[in-house]
Amino acid sequence: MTTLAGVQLPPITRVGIARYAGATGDFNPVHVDEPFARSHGLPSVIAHGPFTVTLAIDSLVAQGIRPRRLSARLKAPVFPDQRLSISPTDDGNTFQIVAGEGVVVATVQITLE
Amino acid sequence: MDVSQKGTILYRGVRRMTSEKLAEMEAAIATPTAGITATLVPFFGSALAGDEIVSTLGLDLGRSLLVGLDYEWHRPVEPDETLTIEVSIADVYSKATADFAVVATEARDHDGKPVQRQVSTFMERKPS
Repeated sequence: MTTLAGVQLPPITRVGIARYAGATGDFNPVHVDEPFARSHGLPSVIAHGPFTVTLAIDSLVAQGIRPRRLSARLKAPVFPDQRLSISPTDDGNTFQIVAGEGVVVATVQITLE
Repeated sequence: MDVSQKGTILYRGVRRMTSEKLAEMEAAIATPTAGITATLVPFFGSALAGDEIVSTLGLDLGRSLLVGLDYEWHRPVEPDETLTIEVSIADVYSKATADFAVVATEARDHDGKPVQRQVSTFMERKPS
């Protein structure tokens, strides 16, 4: 079994967020409407939680890991241009998605069968 | 949030996973393995019933967040295959400071065999 490695994910860009919105049809204004996001206390639009998880899944695929199940708990918003990384824990089946200076944006557990 | 909506089916329909649609997701992911990943997460089930989720639950988007996302895969989606997709409210519950809605998406192939299941957990903070 391939051991999950800590890796950097590609940065989440505004274009990527827009493309994900188009691909999924999820145009929740918090993701695509800057004034809406700011009027609700955010510094800018935020990435879709599933987009962040999708990039994490892609990092697993890139490592030859195909989970049977995946469970993500979203902890903090991800803003455009934040650099994300995968930080595995000791058990090998759990990792954190970490942004920028160490903000944990999600915890993820995978099951392999 | 209307906590009486447990069990409500929000969407039931047939969707063709066209090569073009998979390419859109691949373009959003934009990595060397994006084409493979797109067959694992070609859609976000709750987005298929986004308006229905908001209206049925009476969600205030300004106080709501997606807090949990679970996937179970039986196999990747095949380009141009047709899936039957059902989105429903699996659970609704209330805690001291927030209400939670669990939305389940089941995707099955033309033989009725499961392809994947997604579960989204939404949290709506109670008004202060």
